[in-house]
Amino acid sequence: MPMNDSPLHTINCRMQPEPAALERVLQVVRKRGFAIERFGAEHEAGQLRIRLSCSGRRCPHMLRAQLNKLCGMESVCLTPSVATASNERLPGALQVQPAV
Amino acid sequence: MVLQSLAQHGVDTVFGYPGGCIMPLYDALVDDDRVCHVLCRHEQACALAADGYARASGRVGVCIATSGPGATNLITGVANAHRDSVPLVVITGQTPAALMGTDAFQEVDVLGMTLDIVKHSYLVTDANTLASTLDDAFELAASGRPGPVWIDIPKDVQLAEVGAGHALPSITKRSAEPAAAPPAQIDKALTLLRAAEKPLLYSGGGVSRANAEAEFRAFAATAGLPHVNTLNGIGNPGRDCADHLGMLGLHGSQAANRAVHDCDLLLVVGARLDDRATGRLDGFAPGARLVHIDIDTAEFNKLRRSDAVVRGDLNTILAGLTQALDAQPLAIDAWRGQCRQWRARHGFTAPLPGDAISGPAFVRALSDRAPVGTTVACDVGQHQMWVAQYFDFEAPRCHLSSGGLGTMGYGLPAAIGAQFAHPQRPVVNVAGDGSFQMNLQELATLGRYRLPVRIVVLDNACLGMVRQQQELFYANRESQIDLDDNPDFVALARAFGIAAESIGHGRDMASAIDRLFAHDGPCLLHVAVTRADNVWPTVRAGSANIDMIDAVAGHENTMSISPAQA
Repeated sequence: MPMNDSPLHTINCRMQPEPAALERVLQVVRKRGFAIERFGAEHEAGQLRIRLSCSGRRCPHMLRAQLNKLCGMESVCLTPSVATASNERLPGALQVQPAV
Repeated sequence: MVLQSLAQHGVDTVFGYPGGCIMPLYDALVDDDRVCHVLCRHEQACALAADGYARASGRVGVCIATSGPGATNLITGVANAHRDSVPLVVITGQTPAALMGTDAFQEVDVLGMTLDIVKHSYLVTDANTLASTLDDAFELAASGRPGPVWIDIPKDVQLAEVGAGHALPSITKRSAEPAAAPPAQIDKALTLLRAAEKPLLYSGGGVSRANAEAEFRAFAATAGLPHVNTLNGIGNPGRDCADHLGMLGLHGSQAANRAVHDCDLLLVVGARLDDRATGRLDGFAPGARLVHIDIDTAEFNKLRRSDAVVRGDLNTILAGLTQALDAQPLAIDAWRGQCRQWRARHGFTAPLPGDAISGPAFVRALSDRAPVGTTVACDVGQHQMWVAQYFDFEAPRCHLSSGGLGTMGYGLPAAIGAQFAHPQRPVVNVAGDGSFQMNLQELATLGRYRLPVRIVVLDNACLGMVRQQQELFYANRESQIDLDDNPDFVALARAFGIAAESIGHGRDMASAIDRLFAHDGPCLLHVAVTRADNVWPTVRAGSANIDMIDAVAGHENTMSISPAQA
């Protein structure tokens, strides 16, 4: 379930395209207390370009720091948002459906 | 190729257990004498022994297992290393590539299962990348904030011929040096330190992980700062440091927690401000500014906002601070005197030996009688805290303890690893009766290699730490903690060919400890200790450390010290 009342944050990453790269990102986001609301990834210039939006009440800078520790992570860019998970849309990004 | 890589990286000892998908590597071992393979009796013990080896030696520990249950059995040990930032290279066999994803025999998704307990992991799908992967793994495990790196190698990759162009190149040392801390960060830290009237030094396991013990002690001596440490920071200041107040936190000394509460600046060096150390965060060093020095940026501001951070290698940072303070010393004599008084009045005081043996009295006697350079590997529980409180350690690498994960069963395998790292040094495993039975199959490893590890089993016939919690915080409703049907530990040890004896009276402690250290070979001392002993002081869950419960009948004592007492 999305944390609808939690602040929404947009994170853009560039990673080396190695096995389990996406799993590593998703695992860190979940473990550090955030819920994925939207997620998209594509290969670009030999790298994996990831754009995700997540909600959570914890400090997003902590999440950015943890993502930045992943081996193979080239860059992490955080865009804090005051919007909440329930009223923001990222055009063109994969919409993650909440589990039933 | 794996063995060649291990040899090139200076690995002389590995801890492993063979099985189906790692058989090509074990076949190669038959003809290779460059690496000593230690056969443990359970994969968990392989990982924990590699952890103990790494902590004691400062080198990368290596463990090997097969796929499926071999890999899953490693997990606790690898998680243990990860939580305490111990460098390991973990090598597992995997189902042949063609069978992966088919639910083949002994197939598990190692990469997926271990995401949270490794610094990084690799699934090698091309034999031509194996050499570079091994190089990267060793580099990664030991650099920056150390940690375990896992390499999963399908059986067919182990068997594949490697192209000539992909044979192992000679190792050229790549730079693992972390970037130097920006001078502005150091200047700000110094400014805050100089402005403080009651600064306190707080160190953790990062000091030894960075091999920065010497620089740390030089800094502490030059600065003259009163000092507390975490569980993993025990030994940082060495013995007989007058400004050392002991361990802080849940079972820390009243002196340490009092100083943390009253200080106006906390200088955190190589520690992560974990919950067992800080207690309730809003009651932790409430009037202090915080300066945090660490190699890992992600630890800054994670739990407590810092007023200044310094990121980089502790050796260079501490050297810079020492130089600055040597030129212009701090003026903190009054505060230093206050902390020394607290140390004298509110440190750890072991009870005198009586008829029955108490855990603290035994550990104090062990500390007093242990030869210089003794390494102690603990399990987890009351005995672990008594070792932390009452054993006086010369160096952090002499104290092996599972801090972050709290792994019962850690001690015996870790002691085995430490003994392989330092064959000539005395190594003692201090265990509880509960923890000891988690990995007692490793008595066979001791027996096989005739390792002179000394085992002390402090037997209170129960899970003491759980019993203590139930007594203090669950209305003394004991639940599933009785171990009064323990085996005869002396007979058990002897069954593995290990000398053993048992004591149960205080008058026998000293002579039994002396015999333990005099024995040539592995031996076990079973010590029947008082069931009702608790670890004091302690802190109720959710409370601040200043609200410790002291040893006087478990009554709450807010540690308020009147001016007359102080």
